[in-house]
Amino acid sequence: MTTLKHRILLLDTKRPNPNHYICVSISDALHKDSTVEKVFIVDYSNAIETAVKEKTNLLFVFDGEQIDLNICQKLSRICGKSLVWFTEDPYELKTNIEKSKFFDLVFTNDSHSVKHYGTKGLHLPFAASHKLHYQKIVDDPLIRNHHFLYDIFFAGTAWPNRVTFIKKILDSFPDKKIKLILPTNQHLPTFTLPQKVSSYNFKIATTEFCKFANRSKITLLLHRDFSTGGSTPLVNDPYFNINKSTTPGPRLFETALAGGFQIADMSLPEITNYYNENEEIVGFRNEQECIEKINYYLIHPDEALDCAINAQNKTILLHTYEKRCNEILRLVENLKKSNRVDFQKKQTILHLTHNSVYTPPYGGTEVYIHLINRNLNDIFLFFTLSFNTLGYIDHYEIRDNKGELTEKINFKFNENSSQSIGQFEEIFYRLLVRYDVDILHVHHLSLYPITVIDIAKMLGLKIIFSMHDYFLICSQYNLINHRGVFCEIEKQISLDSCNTCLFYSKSIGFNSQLKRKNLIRNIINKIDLFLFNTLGAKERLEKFYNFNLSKKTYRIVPPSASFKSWALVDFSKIEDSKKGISSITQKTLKIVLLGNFIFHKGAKVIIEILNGLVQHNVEFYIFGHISSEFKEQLKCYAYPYLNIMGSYSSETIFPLISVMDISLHLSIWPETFCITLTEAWQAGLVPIVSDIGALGERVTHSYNGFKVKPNESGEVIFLIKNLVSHPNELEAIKLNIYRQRPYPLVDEFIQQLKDVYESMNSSFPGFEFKSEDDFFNIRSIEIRNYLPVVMNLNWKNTSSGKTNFFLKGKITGDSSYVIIKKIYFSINEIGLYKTFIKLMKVIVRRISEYVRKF
Amino acid sequence: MLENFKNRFRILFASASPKYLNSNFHLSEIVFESLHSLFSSENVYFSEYETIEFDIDYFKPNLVIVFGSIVPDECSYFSIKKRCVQFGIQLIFWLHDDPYEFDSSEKIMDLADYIFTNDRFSSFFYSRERVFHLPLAASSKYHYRPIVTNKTRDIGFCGVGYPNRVQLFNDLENTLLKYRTEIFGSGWLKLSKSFFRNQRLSNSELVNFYNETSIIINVGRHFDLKNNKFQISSSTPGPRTFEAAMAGTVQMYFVESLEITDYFVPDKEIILFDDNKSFEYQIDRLIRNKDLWLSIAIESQKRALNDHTYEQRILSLLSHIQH
Repeated sequence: MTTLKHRILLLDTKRPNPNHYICVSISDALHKDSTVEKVFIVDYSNAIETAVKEKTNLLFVFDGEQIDLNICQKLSRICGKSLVWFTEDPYELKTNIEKSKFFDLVFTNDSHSVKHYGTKGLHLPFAASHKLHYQKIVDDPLIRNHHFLYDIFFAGTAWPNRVTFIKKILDSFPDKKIKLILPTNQHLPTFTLPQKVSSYNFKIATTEFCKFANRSKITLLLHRDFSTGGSTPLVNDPYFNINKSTTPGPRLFETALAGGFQIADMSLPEITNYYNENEEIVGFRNEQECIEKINYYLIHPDEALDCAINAQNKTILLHTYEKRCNEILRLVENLKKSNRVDFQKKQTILHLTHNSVYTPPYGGTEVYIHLINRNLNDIFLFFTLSFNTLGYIDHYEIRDNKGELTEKINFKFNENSSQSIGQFEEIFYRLLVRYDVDILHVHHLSLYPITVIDIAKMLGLKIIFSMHDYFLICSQYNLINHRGVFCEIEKQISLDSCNTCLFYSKSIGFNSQLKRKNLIRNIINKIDLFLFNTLGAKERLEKFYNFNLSKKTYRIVPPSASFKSWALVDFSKIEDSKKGISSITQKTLKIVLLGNFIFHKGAKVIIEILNGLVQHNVEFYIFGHISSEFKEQLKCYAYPYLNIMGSYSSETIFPLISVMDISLHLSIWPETFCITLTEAWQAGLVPIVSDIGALGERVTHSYNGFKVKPNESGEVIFLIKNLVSHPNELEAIKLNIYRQRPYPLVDEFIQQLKDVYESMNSSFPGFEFKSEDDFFNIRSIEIRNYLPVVMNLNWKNTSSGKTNFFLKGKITGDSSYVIIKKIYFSINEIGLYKTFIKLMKVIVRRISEYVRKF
Repeated sequence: MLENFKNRFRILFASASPKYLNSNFHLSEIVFESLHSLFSSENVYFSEYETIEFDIDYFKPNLVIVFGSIVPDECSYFSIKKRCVQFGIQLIFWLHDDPYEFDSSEKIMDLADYIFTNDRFSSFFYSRERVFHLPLAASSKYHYRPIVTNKTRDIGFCGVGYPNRVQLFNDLENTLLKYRTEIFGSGWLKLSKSFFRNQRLSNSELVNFYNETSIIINVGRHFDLKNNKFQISSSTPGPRTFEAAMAGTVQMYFVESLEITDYFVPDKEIILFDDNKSFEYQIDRLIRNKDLWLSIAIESQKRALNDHTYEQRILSLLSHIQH
């Protein structure tokens, strides 16, 4: 029987972690073990994704500080076997005990902490790494002396007790070459040494630490809680911890592997468990002893060399990460795959949108979400996160599938403030955990930081993106440019037009669009499935980003109209009309406008059409919300043939509109679907649409509707006038529309969505325990630290700089002749007094400009 | 080896960021010059960031080397990768700002066939395969100057006045004031010490500055743009170490890492110092002993010419590439 080789997910829980090099060492060591097939070093941002994709079978958690239990419990379940190596015991013991229940094996750096972890607790000291720490010992006596650059070397954080001790050493050896590296930070008290600050206050790479140790005659080992420093006990020292670690830290092993000769503080008696005193290392118990031994070994280099050689040999034999990992893996092999009971729960789907049908104004998208929720709530659990601007305070809200408000979040997100983004990220993370969401279905992203995608990914959610607009292409999500027309972005040869547009429409500095493009490109990669309504939107996205979505990553799902029945058209009558026996001549055409009456839906064009059809046999019916600016205009004009019907619900207007003739869909932006077009067809209306986006894609000219140039009212007026005189043409098209049925009906559409959600079925269950607080309150860690750090979220350049005016030159200034002429004409025109005032104003302005320049 | 490479590779060498964002653009040109000197014109081609895709179509390389800083948000490499995959081209990134911009490497982690980083310690933190350390170097064409003994100043430094450097020069002030010292670069104004010149030098001026100065101080920077993930400390000395050696001067290297000893032998090719005391001692020794100064200048230039040219680095890079 062949045993399954380990595929290990190695997770460093802390960021930034100065000890990450240990993680690198562990990875290197694991790779060398014959039972290991592959090791993946991950962080929270990619851990779950990697575990699922690479089918890892062992979770190896390193450090334990800042651990996120929500992610780790999911990882444990995916991998089957899990272990943690806590490296901050006993300082973190209390919380570590709590966390340990999520793991099958618990290793701790501290021998005294082991007992607290029960039967699964094991002691595992640090070690050294061949790859990072090994240095060859120069033992040739001729070269050896020249090889040393320093007499005494110490590197470590400037804990106060260490500083006190170091001062004494410096005083005792004024003539020796001492290399000190004592990085400080803002939490440590300031101190002074005879040396200048620049000589010791910096951090070094662990590889360099080893080179220093190798090229110094003596390396001092002073523990973090090292307490033999002064003659007085350091109990008052806030950094002195009674509950100190009993096992030495990594530097002991690293120095030994680097071939350094160590004089070590023996206040940790456990040192002798690893190295024999006087054979491999030399110890001291007080500062006097330390000074004596330094003196002794400086004049007995051969003895020091022997110790260094012995210590290095022993390290190679016993204290490398290879050895440690070997021990770990042997224990793992005896572990049985944990038999956690997988509980069944409904797949939970969170819709991300900016409005909902409960918070008008809403459009097709909101209806679409409502339809999904209403029809699939037996199978899935739905929540909708939207933004509500109706109340006194703008807020986010979560509603369940029945539309009941489950949570209100009084927060307003500001995309220009990183603090605000950070706050929202925390809120969002908590929501995903609290509702145990499996799938994030994004409909709108504009009121959210784009990092919501990263956070969802981090928690192992599947992400579906329904492309209802072009937010992924431009922040001007309907692609209407600063001149108020569709920018045809996919045909632009460069982003220069975008930069111009964004500058004039939103005062965004030049060259910002490229940054946004790169930012969003990274997000696109994380989306599991795109839902497009038509092929056109997909192609536009692909063209802009110059990529092709693979077949697995997108689907074309045309939404259905919400009407449940089909048009009540009397087709016998139509057939009659085709035979030419229709009695209809010069009938009044009833024209319907469905949906929001707003600028990008062509409201301006429609008002032009209303004006152009005065005294023709037409009646207009506007169903839907009218934005305030257009409401005023419509009131002003007072068209007798215009009927404003107000907001509508699909069911009630169906009988009303199905007896009408024409519907107008004159959007000036490339719609991604336009549900009202389906509704119109379904009600037996003949649509006149602008030839742009999905409208242009869906309608065949003169067959099932008419296509006109976008933003061209004249063409529509002419067409309608023509139809008024030749209504028969309408009847023919109505018949085509009828023959083309059925249009996607609700059931069909819902079935497609159900398939989509089921295909996304995540292969692991949700949370056993929910730990919202652990991440934030106890550790007070910003979730930002864990998000991928590829780019800055703020993509907007500020428009900076100013034009150079050469005031002194003749470029902008008028010649004196011109000035006199101007004054003369001015006096003639406005009189002496006013000219004088004007002149003074100019002078004052010029002076202030001049002053400001300097 | 070179002959073999000539037969194997057709190289498009590209700058990793647009010229207007890249203060190190000249470095790409210098490295390309070296590449050009090794290969014939038909087999190497230089491309600016904006035109990489077009140039791939035009030149049809089998190797694309993207050189420089990938940090600007304006830079993205998905399209380039797409083109490379389409034509079966190996895509190589040679980064020159590790560890200060390490976090940006996430951008290319899944795109690069090979990554070469200027910093050895940073190379360990790439959790992927085919990552190699490749230090920067100098160009015998651009940076070489014959050694002159008649110098116009004793001590010099040119670079941005990062806080750690300001602190160091503060601490060395007493010694610096004793000699003809000049410190160029931006960010030195605040202290208004007599030897601070808040003035940038052009690339050629810089080489002449090295050549005209007896002793050049070499001190790294502690200033990260994007190095928060692991807060990596640098270990490899910067390119100016090699450039100054090539320009015919003696360098005093402030020791924050000992990797320098892999490139120059202490006391023979370079002088190390750890604090103001050793600085004062060594400066005094060098200024007094002209022969010692000259021998170090000669040896370090010789070493740079032998071991630290971009030609050598390119050969080393190519030796890692497998089909």
